[in-house]
Formats: sequence, structure tokens, C-alpha cells
Amino acid sequence: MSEAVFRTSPTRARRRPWWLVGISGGLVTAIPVVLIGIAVILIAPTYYQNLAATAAINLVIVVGLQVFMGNSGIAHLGHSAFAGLGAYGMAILATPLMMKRLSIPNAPFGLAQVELHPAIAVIVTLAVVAVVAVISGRVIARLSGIAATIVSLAFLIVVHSMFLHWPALFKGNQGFFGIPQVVGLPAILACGVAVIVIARLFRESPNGLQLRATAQNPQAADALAIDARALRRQSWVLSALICASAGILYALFAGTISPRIFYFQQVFMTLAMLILGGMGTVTGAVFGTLILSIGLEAIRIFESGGVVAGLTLPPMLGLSGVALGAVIVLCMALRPQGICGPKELDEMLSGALRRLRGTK
Amino acid sequence: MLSVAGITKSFGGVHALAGADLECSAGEIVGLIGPNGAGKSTLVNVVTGFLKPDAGTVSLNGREIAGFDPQRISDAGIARTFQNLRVFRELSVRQNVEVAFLRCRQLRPEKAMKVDVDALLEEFGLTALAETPAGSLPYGTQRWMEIARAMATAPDILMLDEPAAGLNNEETERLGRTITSVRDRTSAGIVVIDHDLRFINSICARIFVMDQGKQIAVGDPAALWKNPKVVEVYVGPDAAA
Repeated sequence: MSEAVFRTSPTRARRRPWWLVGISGGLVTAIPVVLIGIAVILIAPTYYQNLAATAAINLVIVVGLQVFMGNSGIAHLGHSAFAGLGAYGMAILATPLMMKRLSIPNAPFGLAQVELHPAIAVIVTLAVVAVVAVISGRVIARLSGIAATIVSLAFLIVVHSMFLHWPALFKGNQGFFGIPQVVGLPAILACGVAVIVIARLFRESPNGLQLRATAQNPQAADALAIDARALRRQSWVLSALICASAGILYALFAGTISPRIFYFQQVFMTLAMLILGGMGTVTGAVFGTLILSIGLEAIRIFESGGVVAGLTLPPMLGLSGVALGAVIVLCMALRPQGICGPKELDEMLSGALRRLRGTK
Repeated sequence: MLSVAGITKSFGGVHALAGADLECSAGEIVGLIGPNGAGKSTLVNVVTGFLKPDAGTVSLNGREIAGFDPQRISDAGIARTFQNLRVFRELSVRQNVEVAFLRCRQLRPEKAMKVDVDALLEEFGLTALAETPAGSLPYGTQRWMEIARAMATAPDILMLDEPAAGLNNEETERLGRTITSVRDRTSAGIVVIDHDLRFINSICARIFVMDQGKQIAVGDPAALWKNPKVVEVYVGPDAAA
């Protein structure tokens, strides 16, 4: 060890409290989302408006996924189940009675006669999801590594089966239509910014830091009396609520939902987004979603075939699925920390600023 | 005060501990030495809850804690470092120490008031490295950081498993001075395991010598090296005769 190690810095840098780091860092991370969002709202045609709305909803899911997976280090494959619960909660509670008479006339628990204002339906839905998350979280938190991942996958399948095979409540395989479409791109973007800040606040909080420590060295965390199970439970519930919010937004944006929207396709697309960006940071979640949303749209052009740059291409259906798989495999093999690396955007920026000052 | 008596632990017929004893009072620095395989690290792992003892008692300030899990033992006031380092690699040096402090503040707020993360970093020469990811530090620096991290839990007893391993003479001396000053400042009891006898002699008032899973001698450094049993274990039977 060199002498330099024992040199003490003359002034102790004043450090900001964690909640200030969380809020300001979250807002900095959200800047690209806000800029792209405003540009789309102002100039893009309707098709791209809808595309951006879907991407922003995916962003909420990916950020929700990051809250659990990025901090606990446990791969999570069941997050879309919570998105689905959020969406179906809105469908069941907020759809006008007239529509419900057509879709779920025999709903149990008297739900066929219930029509709540969307805002109240949101609160009730989130409360129900919270209960489901607390119960499932107790199981997940006891496990670690691969066992927890498999249980999260089982949870996805159970919830999906429930949507499919309980038509009296969920309308089964067919689309559930007639949900009030009261949400547009601006509201979805605002929610995206909010969850980015919430995710960052959790990451920087005393509990978030402790959870990250358990992921990096469980024994050392044990020796510091850190309660890994309690922290996993907390992040699981927070993650579930964020993912459910995405489902709620989707239902209120699209007006029609069906079980397959919240299944493997969505699970793996959002997982690929998080892995591509880097699951350790909220920045990774944001940039992974931005890059892959744009990338997948570009691939869709090739998928349908046609003439590109003078070349006549055959239709290549399923190309986007292949691309998703390739993203996951290549990232895991070449850059497991994701393209954004281990630092948040604001940390990278302030580091770059310091280097810039230092070289002057 | 930590008081350990008659601990036994076997792994599939091998008696790693066969009635091991250990004692450490507040403000005391105790050495735990013995040849390779004597059971020193096993004893630390039993005391800190990472292994369950087959029999025996561990009491801390009069409270029986044998067989508790590591979290509860840490909460009760025993901190440790690891022979094979266990750092939170992607967290910064400051965060490694801070996370211990934050947990202590949740569990024992009145004790945590005595802990100052910045002062700890300063004390262990880590201030300039505070923002560096712990995983990129040299091995020796990670050792210093582990001790600082353990102290951030405001422990009553600190157990250091080979803290001087891999340090050169000058660094070992500095480590000895730091351990002594930490003891003076906090009046924690400190148990030090090491192979470096000169290091142990220089900082410990009392030394427990282990061989084959139990204590064979205990005493202050001067008396201990006149004990024929200790000489036999360390130098060989011929020299003792």
C-alpha cells in the first residue's frame, strides 16, 4: 500500500443527503425521456405518438423491474404479471356498466355492478396489487438466486392462467374492451419521470444501499446484521406497484387489453431492455428502453420486407424476436454490466465535469 | 465481555473444535494463535454465527448467544472481518463503511451516535479513496476497509481474522497502532487472530494458544513463551525437552 493512501484530503466535501441525490439524480436521468417525449408530442405523426406511448409504458415496466432485479441481484421474470393485474384491475373497476353487461355480465363479488371513477379505480387496483405483492414477496424473499427466479416465473404463469381460465372475471382469451381511454402520451411521460425518480430514491436510500450490498456479498451483509429478506420484500412490493402502474396506464391508454399482452413477449422484451442498458442503475433501465424501442421499430421495417436502400428484401417475420434474444445473449457475454456501466447518468456527468476542470 | 467455553464442532468425524475457550473483556486486545488447522477461524465462525456449534457456550455481556444466526450476533454487538476478504465490490469505500453504519443506526441508534463515518475513513487512511469502488482497491487496502466497516457497527467485540496477512513490516506496525488507538477510543474488546507472532506480542495483553481444536495455554506474552506446551507446538518437541 502506498503512502498516498494515508494522505487525507484537506477539506471534507459536503455531501448531499440521499433523498436529494435521489431526486436530483432521478430528474437528470429523466431528461432524455422528457426531451424525446416533447419532440414527439410536438412534431410526430399519430403513429409515432402511439409508438412513443407504448415505449413510455415499457419504460415504466423496465424501471419497475430494475427496482427489484437491479438492487437485489435476483433475476425476475414475473414482473409482467403485476402489469397484467394493474391493467385488469382497471378493466374490471373502471369500465362503464354498459360495456360490462356485454363483457363480464356474470362477474363474481358483485363486480358486474361496479363502475368506479378511474382515479379511484387506480387506488383500489394498486391496493389489491400491494396485497398480492406482499404475499408473493414473502415467498420470494426467502429464496435466493435461481430458486427465486423460477418462483417468479411460476407466478407469471399462475396469473396468466387465471386471466385465461376465469372468464367470468377476466373475460378469458378475448380482449377486454371498453376501458375509458383517459390517458395520453403526456400523462404517461409524467408517470415515467415520476417512477424514474422513485426508483432512484429507493436505490440511494439506506435500505436500497443495504439491498445492493446483500447482492454483492451476502455473508458480509449478514455480518453487518443486514436483513436481506426484509429488504427483498420491500423492493419486490415497490417493483410490483411500479409495474402495475404501467399496466394501469396501458389499460387507460389503449382501452382494450388481453392476457397475452402481459406474457412472455413483454417479459423478455423488457428484460432485454434492462439487460442492454445495465440492470445496476436506473440510467441503464432508461437508456436500454430508449435504445431497444427505437431499434425494434427499425427492425420491424426489415421484418415486413420491401425495398431498403435499393435492395429488395424478403419478409423476415420473427426478426424482432431473434434480435431480442441476440441482445440478451450478446450483453450477457460481452458486457454483463450493460452499455451504461455501473454509474448513474448524473454521476457520469459530474465525473466528466470534474475531469474537464482537472485538465484545465 | 465475550466469554466462550467448551465449544465443540466436528465436520463429518473431524473434530475441528474440541472444547475451545476464549475470553475478551471490554477494552482488551486478545490474541488468538496456533498452528495451521488449530481451529482458530472455525472458532471465529462459531462465535459470529457463521457455523453452529455442536456444544458449548458463547456469552456476550452475560447473554447467551451460541447458535444465533450471524445477523442476530452482529446485532448483539460482535463485529468481524473475514480471512478471505468479503467486500461489496461495486460500492465505493465510503458506501462499504456507510452501509454498516446505516444498519447500526436502524438497530441501535444510541450506539450509532458514537460512529462518524468520515472519522473512521480518516482513521484507517481511506479518506482519499472514499469514492473508489472497493473491488478495485489493492488487497491490503481492502483489509483496512473491512476493519473500518466492522467498526462502523459500533461493536462491543471486534474479531479480526488474520488482519496482517499480506502486509509488509511497516504496514503491520501501522495496523498495530491503529488497532490500539481504535481500542483506546471505543473501549471495544478486540480479538486478533494472526500468524505474525511479533505483531500479536506487540499489541495483545493476553494471548490464547490453540492446538487441535482447543486451548493449550493462555497468558501474557512474556509468560507464554516460557510455557513448554507452547514452545512444543511452535518450535517442536525437541526444543521443549
